[in-house]
Amino acid sequence: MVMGATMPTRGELLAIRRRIRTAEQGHHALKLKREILMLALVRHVDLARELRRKIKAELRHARHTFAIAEMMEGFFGMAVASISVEEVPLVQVRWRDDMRIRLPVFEGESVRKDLRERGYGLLGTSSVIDEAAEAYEGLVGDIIKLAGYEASVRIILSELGKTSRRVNALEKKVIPELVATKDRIELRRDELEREEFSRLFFIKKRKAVQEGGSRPGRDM
Amino acid sequence: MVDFPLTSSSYIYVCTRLRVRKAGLLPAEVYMRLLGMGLPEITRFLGEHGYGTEIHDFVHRYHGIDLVEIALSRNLASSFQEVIRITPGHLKTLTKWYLNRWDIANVMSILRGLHKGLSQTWIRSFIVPAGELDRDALERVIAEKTVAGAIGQLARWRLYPTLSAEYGREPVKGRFARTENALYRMYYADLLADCETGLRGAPILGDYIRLELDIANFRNLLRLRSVGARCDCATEIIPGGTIPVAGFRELERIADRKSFESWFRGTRILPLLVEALGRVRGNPSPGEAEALAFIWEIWSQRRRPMHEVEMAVAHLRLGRMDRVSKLEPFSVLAILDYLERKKYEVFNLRAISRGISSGIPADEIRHYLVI
Repeated sequence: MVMGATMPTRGELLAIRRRIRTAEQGHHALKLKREILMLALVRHVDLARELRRKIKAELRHARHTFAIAEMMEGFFGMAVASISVEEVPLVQVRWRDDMRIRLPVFEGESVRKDLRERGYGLLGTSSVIDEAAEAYEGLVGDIIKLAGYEASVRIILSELGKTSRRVNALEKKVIPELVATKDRIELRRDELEREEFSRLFFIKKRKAVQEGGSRPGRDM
Repeated sequence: MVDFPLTSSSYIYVCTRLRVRKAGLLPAEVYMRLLGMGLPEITRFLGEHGYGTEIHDFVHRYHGIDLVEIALSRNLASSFQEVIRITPGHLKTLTKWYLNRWDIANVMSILRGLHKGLSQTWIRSFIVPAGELDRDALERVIAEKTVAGAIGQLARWRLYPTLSAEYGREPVKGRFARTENALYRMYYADLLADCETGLRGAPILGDYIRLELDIANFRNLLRLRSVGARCDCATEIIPGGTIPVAGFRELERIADRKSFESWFRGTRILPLLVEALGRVRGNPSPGEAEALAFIWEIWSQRRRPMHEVEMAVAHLRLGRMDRVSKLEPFSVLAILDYLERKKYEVFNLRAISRGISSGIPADEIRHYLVI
């Protein structure tokens, strides 16, 4: 704020004080939001990390069960079981509001299937195919969930960045400038007040001297 | 039901020829040796022990485990087609009908492939023409553009009426699975009816099939139970075994151990399970109690069937087939004994090759072999 543009009046001083109060309240609120976003970020990162660990173990297990199934049914048996699937899994996205930001929740549809829904006949197959299918269905379901967590983490990070920038802007620029302007106005107003006081004092003194000159012997 | 007249000299010739072939199949020690090899050594071994033609035919197109698997499948198919070719008269018919199970798998693969719009090359790679429908017949089916057209090409197939009736039924969802189940049910019904004829060895074959059905039905019941589903006995239990469909309905309702053990004691599965468990656990004389405790644990905890026990049961049944085929040496049993052993030889070789290429330890692969 350019001092020259702001008049050192009481009205301006009151306005600046109001703006400082608003900025400080906003700064406080945004700091709180930043802390909450941090907590949410940490929570989602922990969830994602846990789920990744689980997915790694599930992938090892799924690969193992698939290898066993391929051993017993052969590549052709597994390929035919794979093309028997009639319903392809879908991903549904739902949005939830969390601290006024919209976070996605990914849900799989037709991922986990009943034995009869997988499309292969019960009488011509063995349970190794069931195990492999179940293992990969669980894995796909968790991968979809993980995608939702990671998307949420990205959105929270973006919002956190924006909020941090706003907090810093308020903390380091806006509020200090407002305070500096307020100080300058107060300083100038004090100067003007002192000047006015001095001026009035000298006027009074001159008056007194003038009155003393017309009435000799009177002390000041 | 068809009457099969007896023809002694042709029986003797075919059965003797197949006994010689059976003697040339790989013994159990060879599988143990193969478990210690890498995939290239296994491929070389197969090239030198009966699979050379297929290995040489496909070596320019496939490599690694794909080469081994395609060679094994094609060898199985050509071996079975050769058996059909040399088997005379009505023995040939019964053999073809027995091998219809391969036709069911092939036909369903083709229909599914056509439905998904897969290329002919892809569909061709799925089939193993080891049944009544030879390669040419299956090629005609694959050449069709639509599922309806493919079904039309099978008009002369024995199971065509069941196929066309079941495929045309509503609802569309689950149509292929339903059709496949219906085909297997009709397959076994026809096979058991064929075993009631006067063909030598057919009654024993019928007995073998009935026990196979008991084991398959119980296994499928365990599968459904492990995922919390109730069995639709009308479509998911194959009738014809020694345990009737009503018996499985009764079993589903059983919740206490005593009733379960009482039910299981009345089946022919128990003695086989006792022996199989003894093999798996290395216990030469396991008791019925141990076997009942084992199967009750699986039943009550809704677990899936144990593969090691399944493999042990398959091995024991092969042994029994071998013994009964010696009782009737010039009968259909000698043919089926060879077919089953050849099937398991290919199964074992594929399991070993796949297991080694996937990095599964040899000790674990061993549990999945029929030896």
